Amino acid sequence: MRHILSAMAVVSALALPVAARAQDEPPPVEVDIVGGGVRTGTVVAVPALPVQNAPLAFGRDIATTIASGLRTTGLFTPLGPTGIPNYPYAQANTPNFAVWRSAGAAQLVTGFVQGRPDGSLTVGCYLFDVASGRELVRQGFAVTQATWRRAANKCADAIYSRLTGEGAFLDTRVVFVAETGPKNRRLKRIAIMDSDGSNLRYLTEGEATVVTPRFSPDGNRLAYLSYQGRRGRVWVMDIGTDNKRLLVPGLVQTSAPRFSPDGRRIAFAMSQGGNTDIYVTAADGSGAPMRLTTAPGIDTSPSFSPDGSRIVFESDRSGAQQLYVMNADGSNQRRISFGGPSASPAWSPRGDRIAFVRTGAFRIGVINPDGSAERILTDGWQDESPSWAPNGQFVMFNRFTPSGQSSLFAVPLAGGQARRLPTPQDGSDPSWSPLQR
Amino acid sequence: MRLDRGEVGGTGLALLLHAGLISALTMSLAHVPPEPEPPAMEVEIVDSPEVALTAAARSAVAPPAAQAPAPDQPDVAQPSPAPPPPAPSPAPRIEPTPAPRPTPAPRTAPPQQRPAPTPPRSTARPLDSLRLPPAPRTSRLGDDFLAGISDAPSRAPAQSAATFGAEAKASVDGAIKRQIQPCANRQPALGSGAERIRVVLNLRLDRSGRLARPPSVVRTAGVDNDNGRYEQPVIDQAIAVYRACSPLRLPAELYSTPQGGWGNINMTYRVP
Amino acid sequence: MRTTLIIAASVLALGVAGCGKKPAPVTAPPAATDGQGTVTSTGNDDVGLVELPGSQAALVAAAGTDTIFFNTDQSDIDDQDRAVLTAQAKWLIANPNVRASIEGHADERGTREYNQALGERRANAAKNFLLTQGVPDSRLLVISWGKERPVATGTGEAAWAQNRRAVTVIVR
Repeated sequence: MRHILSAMAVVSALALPVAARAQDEPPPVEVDIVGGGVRTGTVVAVPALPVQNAPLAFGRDIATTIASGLRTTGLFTPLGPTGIPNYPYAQANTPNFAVWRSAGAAQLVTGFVQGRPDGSLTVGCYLFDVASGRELVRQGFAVTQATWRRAANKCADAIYSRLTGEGAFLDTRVVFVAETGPKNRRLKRIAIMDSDGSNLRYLTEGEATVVTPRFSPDGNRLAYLSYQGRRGRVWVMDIGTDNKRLLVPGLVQTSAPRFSPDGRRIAFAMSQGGNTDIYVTAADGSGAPMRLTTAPGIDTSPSFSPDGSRIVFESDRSGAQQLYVMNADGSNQRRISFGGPSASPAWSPRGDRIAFVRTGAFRIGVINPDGSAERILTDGWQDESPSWAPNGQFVMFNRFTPSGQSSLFAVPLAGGQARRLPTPQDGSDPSWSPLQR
Repeated sequence: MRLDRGEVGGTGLALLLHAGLISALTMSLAHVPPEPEPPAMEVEIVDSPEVALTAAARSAVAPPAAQAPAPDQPDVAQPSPAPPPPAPSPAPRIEPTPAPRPTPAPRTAPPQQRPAPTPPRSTARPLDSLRLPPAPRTSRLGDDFLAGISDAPSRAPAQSAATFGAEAKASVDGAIKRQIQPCANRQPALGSGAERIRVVLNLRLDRSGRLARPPSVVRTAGVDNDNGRYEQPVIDQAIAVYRACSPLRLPAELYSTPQGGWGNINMTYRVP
Repeated sequence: MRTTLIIAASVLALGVAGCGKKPAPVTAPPAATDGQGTVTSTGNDDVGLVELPGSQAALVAAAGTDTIFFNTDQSDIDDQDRAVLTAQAKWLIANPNVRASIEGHADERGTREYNQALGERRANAAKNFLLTQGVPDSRLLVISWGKERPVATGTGEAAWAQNRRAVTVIVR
């Protein structure tokens, strides 16, 4: 008994200061604050990166590329690299925040470029919140001198992602059709470039008209429509080896190819006897195509959901082009668009939206997969061919003018100004690559 | 075989000269000043698709002037797993204890495995770990960040005799809002769904209105599968809102009373 | 007897020439052109079409035109089209040593993939009518150019109406 009592005494003696402390601490003052939701750009300073053992131009070029990448998101107002102070190599991660506060920057990007003995570069980048001085991002990349842009785009992606919560999208490529010439003798070539327009190269030479190139999920192959041999058929090209083969051997006319998210299948349209239906076949050419739609009329433009379980497509079975969703085996086909004729659907990689073309007016719109919340995003004369950024936040498309010019544009999902992608010639049928590895 | 005088002399002279050369080299090497080390961070190796494409000899755009011409592109390694950065993850971690910045430990942690189904284009290279002398803490976090910080266990500050009634509370609430709201107004919009998130930040201030310790996230609410990626940016904004508009200027007698005071604030922040 | 043999041999030769699906290759070399000129591709995955301008002119002279037109998004054969196609069928039957590639087109004011399908539907509609007029199926091919080969380069309904068409192209 005595032991119990002394134990209780000890326990209460220990508890007393805790209780006293609890009594000492009144509850905190509660304050509710709502943010501004400002849609004009957050000011981000991007001074030139200091460089060691490599040409100084890398530091400026990388900072310039980071700044333009951030600008294209529509969410930031970058400062620099020209016209703002530089800092030495040793201060790359210990900036003088007072300078940037007085410059009006909310965020600061710093970093460094180090040349390595084998000629490659190490590029580091940091993001600091200027008000609090907190380091929000710290990334490093080893690249060759020829691929410095990859490091700049990955840095910009890290900064964009940290500040917005959205996935990366700047370290990507675009494949599209480069066009020149009069409307009735158009030269069309498949072209590939970084999504900021750099590193452009052509993958075909215009010997045959080519349209609608689409990336495979691993970014290594393209499926596209070529009129080679005087008939439109889908071809699959290995980008690295230039090897090309027909998707479906023989003379049957195929079109509208899209890879499944696992890269193993390609959905496409096949036209014969005045009827066009959707099929799916193995991307490596094995086996036979499996037919998914049988309705009389035109079913085309299939696009897989990101989990590969469903396909959105367009069909004119109701009398006008409308959007339909079905399971990937063709079952449970149901119409989802009721707001006007709709075509050319593309399922967002995030799965939450489907982009499409509102025919008639030819505007790009988005709709939920269940058909709700339809919203028109663009207002050009003829906007077509939507393709999503890998983070599902931007839709690329091509815009025709009445005079026959065609350019590539990108518009934010949240709405706002569509921004033109620079191409040396006209461009059409863009396809946004997945994030590069 | 026997060496003659000439050979012995020659060999000896050669040995002497070699020794002299070696010591000279050693000593002169010792005088090379150490290069300033680059900042410490984990480095990701970035694969280059251009290597294979260049090999296929396509028509190419001329490289910018900044790049050194390299007719034989070096084989670039497969990207190694990403370093663990202090960035939002699919399940953002809330740190219940104060953490002003990422600790040095993540810098040298073993790299996380990234799912990489594609075969590597070339052999992998090991991660580099680059080191800078660690920066003094204060310069990273703002000059006034640690002013007044104490390692003593939490104790209620000396309380004033004033009472903290409803009227006083309302006036303090209003004063805090007036001072913080301009910084909140500058915060950028986030994606749709972020407006459901509420972050409660506990702010412990000293009598000058500055943070006595780093802000701590008490709780977050409204986070779901659709908006989870916005949780960290909302937390970042809440912290930035206070830091940009501090120190607060509030009545001294209401700093700490038996009913509470502005030395201990829970700020609930959300985006519109 | 000799005449019969000659006729039989010719029919046999024509029959062999008319049919024959070529085996599909693993890869295909690039085509020299894709039908703008008279040279076709070298790969054996192709139809191997060679245009015959002389015969084309003869068809136009006999039928008045080698082209029929359609309304927006439509592939109906109207009375005017039927008259033209009937005359084309007569010429084709009278000239059995050539084939016809019926080529469907759409105007620019439509999405690309739908227009590719619409061109095929239009060409197929024309072919079906020619079949009803007695032209053998084996002599008729159907392809679509989608909106890739407009003849009128202007903008507006006048130009678009000219581009919504099916053209009967005489080939070897």
